[in-house]
Amino acid sequence: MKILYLEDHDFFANQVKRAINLLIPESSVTHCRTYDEASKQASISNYDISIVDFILTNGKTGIQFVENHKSNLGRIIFLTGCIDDPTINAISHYSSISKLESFKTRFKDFLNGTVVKIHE
Amino acid sequence: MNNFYTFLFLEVLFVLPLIIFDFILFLCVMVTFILWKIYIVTKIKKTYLEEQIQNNIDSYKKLEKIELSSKMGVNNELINIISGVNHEVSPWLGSINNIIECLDEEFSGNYLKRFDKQQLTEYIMQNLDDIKKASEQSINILSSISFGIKKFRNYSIFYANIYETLKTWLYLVIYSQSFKGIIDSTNIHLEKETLDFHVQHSQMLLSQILINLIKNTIEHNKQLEPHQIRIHIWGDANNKKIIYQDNGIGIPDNIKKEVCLGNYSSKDLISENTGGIGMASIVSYCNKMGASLEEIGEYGKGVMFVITFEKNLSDSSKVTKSPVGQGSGGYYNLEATSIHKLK
Repeated sequence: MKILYLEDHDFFANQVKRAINLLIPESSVTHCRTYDEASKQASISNYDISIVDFILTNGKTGIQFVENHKSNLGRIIFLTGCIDDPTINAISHYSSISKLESFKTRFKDFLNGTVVKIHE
Repeated sequence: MNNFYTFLFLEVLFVLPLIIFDFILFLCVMVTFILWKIYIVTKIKKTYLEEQIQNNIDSYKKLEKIELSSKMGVNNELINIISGVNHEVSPWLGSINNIIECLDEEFSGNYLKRFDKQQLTEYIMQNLDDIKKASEQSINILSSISFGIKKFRNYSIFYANIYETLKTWLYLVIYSQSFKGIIDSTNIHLEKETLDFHVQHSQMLLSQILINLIKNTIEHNKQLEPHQIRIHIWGDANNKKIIYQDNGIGIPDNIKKEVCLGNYSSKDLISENTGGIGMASIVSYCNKMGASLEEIGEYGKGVMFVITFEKNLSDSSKVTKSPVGQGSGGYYNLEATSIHKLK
């Protein structure tokens, strides 16, 4: 399984990759730290799952990335530290997990086909 | 041969229009799909951006109403800190959660079997270090927020810039629960005629004075919405004053003295809701800061409280006219046009 992971916070990303490795040992995770890096990867390869941070550097957002590369990203899930109303509304059409929640548990639900949304 | 051409002619006559029709249909479907995609993307972006823009507009409208716009250097640092806290601290806190969960699974799932004793110890220590690092980062972020809040809630007495203090507290006051739903109808003007002056005061006490004065203005002048409040800072080498004015009813001459001593309860006046201790609190706070309180407004034209910072308490029974502004009798006139607006 090919997973694209867009996240600029390295420390947090390491833990997420660790959790993914435990859940899906056979997966390969492509970790991108910036919008441009992820765009490049998405344009050259198709992914089964894409985990996208909402707030990116340089004023870009994960939603912009997703809308521009949707066809190559497979199943999409947002991972965000923002739980304000505009953010939740913007990603309401997608699965989402808050960074404060248990990533492993919620991602497991997502893999099983459940639609996961940020808990209020 | 004729049959061939006849057949060909019939083919062109019947099949070609079908092909053209199919092609046009395909184009319509593609265009519709592209337009739908553009619509969805635009709708999401518009919804998200519009709400963000509207939130910002609402915030600035509130600031405009009290004439404290960001151009005048209102301290938005605290607001930015609070709004950004979730985004900054959640990756660190979330990491702690994830580390513990992963460790739990690694132990229970025998993922660590391949390690010998020393390697296992090192691995656990590494995880504990990561937890420690994430905790420290979370604490640093939360501490900076509490420091930002503490900066504006300092109980100790210190030398500080009066104008900056009032500016900051006014900004916070409008978001306080006390004024929820009320502050929109109140216009507060904060002005200074001199360069900023420093004086020993307590931010907390000064803010309480301000809150109580504003509450009194609103409670005693409900029929006069929108309220107009002017807070003027004036000072020279010998005198440093904060002047609070409103466009309300004012205080009758016969009770001014008692009001400024904190001996008068407003329960006998118009409002039923006041606890009557607001003025007593204001007087008490002024005393604690070594400041004197006078009321020199004209009854029927609003209150005019003068807080004077002196080494010794002034005799509050001595009513002095304020040297500032223009207007009859030396009173500060709300209609005066020579107000030096803040840049």
